[in-house]
Amino acid sequence: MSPHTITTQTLTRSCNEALILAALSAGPRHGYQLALDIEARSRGYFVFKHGTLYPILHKLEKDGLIEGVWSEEGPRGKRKAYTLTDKGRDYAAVQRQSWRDFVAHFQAAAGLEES
Amino acid sequence: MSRFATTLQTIADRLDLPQPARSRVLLELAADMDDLDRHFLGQGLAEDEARLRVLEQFDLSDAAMSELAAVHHGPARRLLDRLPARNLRLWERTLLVVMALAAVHTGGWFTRSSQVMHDAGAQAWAVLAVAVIVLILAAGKAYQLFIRQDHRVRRLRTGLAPVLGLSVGMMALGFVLPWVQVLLRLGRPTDLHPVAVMMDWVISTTAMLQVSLGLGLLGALAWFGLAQAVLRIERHESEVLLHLPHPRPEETPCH
Repeated sequence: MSPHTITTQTLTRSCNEALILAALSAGPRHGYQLALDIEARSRGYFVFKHGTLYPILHKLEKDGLIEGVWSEEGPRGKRKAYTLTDKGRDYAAVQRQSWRDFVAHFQAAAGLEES
Repeated sequence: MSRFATTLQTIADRLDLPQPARSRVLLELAADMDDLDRHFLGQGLAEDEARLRVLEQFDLSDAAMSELAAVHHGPARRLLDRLPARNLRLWERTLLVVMALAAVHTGGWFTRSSQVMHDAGAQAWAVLAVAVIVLILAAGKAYQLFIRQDHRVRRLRTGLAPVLGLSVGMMALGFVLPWVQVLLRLGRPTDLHPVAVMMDWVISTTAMLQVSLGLGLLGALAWFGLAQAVLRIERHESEVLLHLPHPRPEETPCH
């Protein structure tokens, strides 16, 4: 999906991607940490069910926007953490601008602008 | 020992992914469930409440499962998944028939055009017939493993042993059939000089051995390739079994 494309059909997907990429811009995260971070950053407004997070993460990884790295963490066994790739950083930057444009146009069209 | 072994087993049973993606997804889920549980316990939640919250969070819907599968399946499998089950079976049967016809046609062409097959005589038809069966079995197995990416453990080794067995059988036919030919020709009157008869037999036996050993080796190579693929898949599957603890008898089901 292009980072420039935010339509009513792609709204949910683009929103999920933007939230995940924003959370990862703060540094490497395990899957479960991402959901908690997004919930904390949005003060509980966006709540990700962990089960729905993984298809999105794996798709982003397959597209090369994030990278999953396995590490052996002692007796707790292998853990997978995700980091943003350079391609992901560029994608996220363009996507953030697309969202700013979307929000601005939506506010104008729906009469939500402050007078 | 993970408190979520039963849930993970349920997810594992529902997760239709090819290896190694399947084992990696399960290991990731197991680790994150344990870590989330620790997080909730660290926040002061009681053990039971923490466990229930984790189970609620990791309740993978059918839609989530399908999305995961769509990410990890190859393009051929994604195409096949779009077909209704009935159409898929029809398509697979049609493919099998087309392949069998193509194999028979190729075998017939090879028999007519090849000097070796001509020298080997009618006895080579038996080897060729077995070769066609080996080809169909090996192709079917390759379709299961690489195109359909059906890596269910109980189906992994199905059909593999016959590929090897029939390939060895082809090689054995190369040694046995010439002697059957001798037995059949014994006592049969002929105008040919015995030396000429012997030379005919040597030439046809040599050709027969070339055909049977050649086709048998090809079949054995096909078996070897498929067996290696199966071993790799089983190794990934065992990685999951090593790292995911099995549920204890006293654990209650999550839902």
